Amino acid sequence: MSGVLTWARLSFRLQRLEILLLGAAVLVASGLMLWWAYELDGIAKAYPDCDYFDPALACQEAGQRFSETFSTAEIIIRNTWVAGFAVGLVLGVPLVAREIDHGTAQLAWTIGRSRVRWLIGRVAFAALVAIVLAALLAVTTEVLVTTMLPDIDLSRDFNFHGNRGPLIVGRAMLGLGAGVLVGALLGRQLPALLLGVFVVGGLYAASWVGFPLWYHSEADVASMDEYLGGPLWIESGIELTSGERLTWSELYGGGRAPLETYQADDGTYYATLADAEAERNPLGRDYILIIPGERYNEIVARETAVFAGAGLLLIGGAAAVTRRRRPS
Amino acid sequence: MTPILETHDLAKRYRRGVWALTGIDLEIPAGGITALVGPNAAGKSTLIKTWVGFERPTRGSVRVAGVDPWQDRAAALDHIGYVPQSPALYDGLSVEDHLDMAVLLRPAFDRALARERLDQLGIPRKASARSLSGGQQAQVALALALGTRAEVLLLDEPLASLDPLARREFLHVLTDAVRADGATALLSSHIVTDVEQACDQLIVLGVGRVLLQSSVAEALANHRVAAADEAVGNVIATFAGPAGERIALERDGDGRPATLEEIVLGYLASTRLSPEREQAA
Repeated sequence: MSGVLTWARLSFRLQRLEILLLGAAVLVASGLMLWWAYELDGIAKAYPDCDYFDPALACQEAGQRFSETFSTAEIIIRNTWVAGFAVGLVLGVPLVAREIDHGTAQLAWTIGRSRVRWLIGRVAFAALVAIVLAALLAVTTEVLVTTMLPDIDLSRDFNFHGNRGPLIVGRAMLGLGAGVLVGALLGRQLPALLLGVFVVGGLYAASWVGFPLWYHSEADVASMDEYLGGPLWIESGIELTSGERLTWSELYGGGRAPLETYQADDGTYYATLADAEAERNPLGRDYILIIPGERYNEIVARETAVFAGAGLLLIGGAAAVTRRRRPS
Repeated sequence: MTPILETHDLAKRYRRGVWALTGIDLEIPAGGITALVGPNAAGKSTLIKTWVGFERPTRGSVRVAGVDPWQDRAAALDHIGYVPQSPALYDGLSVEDHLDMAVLLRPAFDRALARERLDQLGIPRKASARSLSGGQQAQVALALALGTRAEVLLLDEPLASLDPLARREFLHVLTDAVRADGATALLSSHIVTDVEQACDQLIVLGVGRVLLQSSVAEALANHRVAAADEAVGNVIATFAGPAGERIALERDGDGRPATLEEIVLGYLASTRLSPEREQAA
């Protein structure tokens, strides 16, 4: 037990600056989110009978206050996707890079027999801190979004998907892994932090493209008319009369239709206005591919696992680099 | 006697094509302190780092207590206590924290021994590493190396940034520890006078190769110096004396006994005109 306490104490002291800075930032952000949640909840509870279109003055005022607070809260919620990555990256980069930068790797790597074991000890504490901080953000974002959308069951809805909940923790693990690896490769803190931002940005972009591709085959087909928010939007386009599905970019970019098409009231697309009016030569009807809101928890668990798993792989890569690299 | 530190035909070339070491053959017996002397860029640090497993030989082999550190670094490190060139300690940790960390990293670390050494020197264990003087930091690094109870201590120019008093104290602690534990120490330095009193063996390294390996006593017994135009022995090299006069270092000559500094200077001077050096350059 005393060994664990010593490990925690020393690990904290070695990363005191990052932990205190991140801790303060997360506490401030969480505090703000909880405050806004409290405000929104208060407004909603004070006027339980008002709806958005209620003409009563009190309701109008309450609606305006709710809307203003909602807009402010939305700014921070829309940007929480970056928070997990930032927490992981800031904690991960110095683990090896600072040791090499400051020359202390020579000390640690000769007193200890195994560099990998040394790295595991360092990463484990940083991961613990990253998980705690990211989990705090995960909880407070859920609380805030719950009060922003009080009528929606958020466990079955993709509203603010990626900006709330456990995904923030998964992304923190990915940021941590990327930070440790880049730090181990470069051995310099500032360049590693800058490169780490690009690496994490690239990985996020890859996930942004990759997840919809992954979900494509398991998505449900729906009509645009049926889409009311809540499901996860995967793709939209037109289903031609031949039954072939084309995304909008495939339809227009591939020259399969003129750049201007016409949609009749029943949702059917025509190449010309005359065709639309005469209801002849239809191109097809629009469609969307969605993951229903009922699968929200499953999808979040899956994406969180992918991010965290990728983070662990990167940490494995960092261990391989650390094992062989020079300490200076 | 079985050597505890060995190299055979060791060569190391860095990425930019510079040869730091060229064909080093060394066998250092267990016990005592060996001085590894040479000018800057002679390859001293590179040689020590190959024993620690920080550098991979380009050619040849390296062994510590029979273990190749590049093949089995963990086993090699069991035998090694290392003091780096600049004793980089963790700024945010106290001296005692460093000992705690050493115990975490190496459960067999002898904390009591390290504490005893530090207490003898009056180094406050609760003090932050950043508040210590350069000499104290070097002593902490040495205490950490001694606490490993390793058979071999590799010290990479630990004296370079210390004042004369701190250097003397450092060597005193090192000598005491080596004598008490029967350990082997390899101490690299480019300041000959520092190591003269402390060391039993001498290795002179220049331009990436061994110029002399001998016991200090034999080196002193076998070398003489004379004015360059009066030398009658086997002249190794001539070099400028303190007043600018030309001095010859010779083996078995009639001159006065050479000092260790003159021996080292003579051997280093001998590399100036060597074809190998021209090639290496």
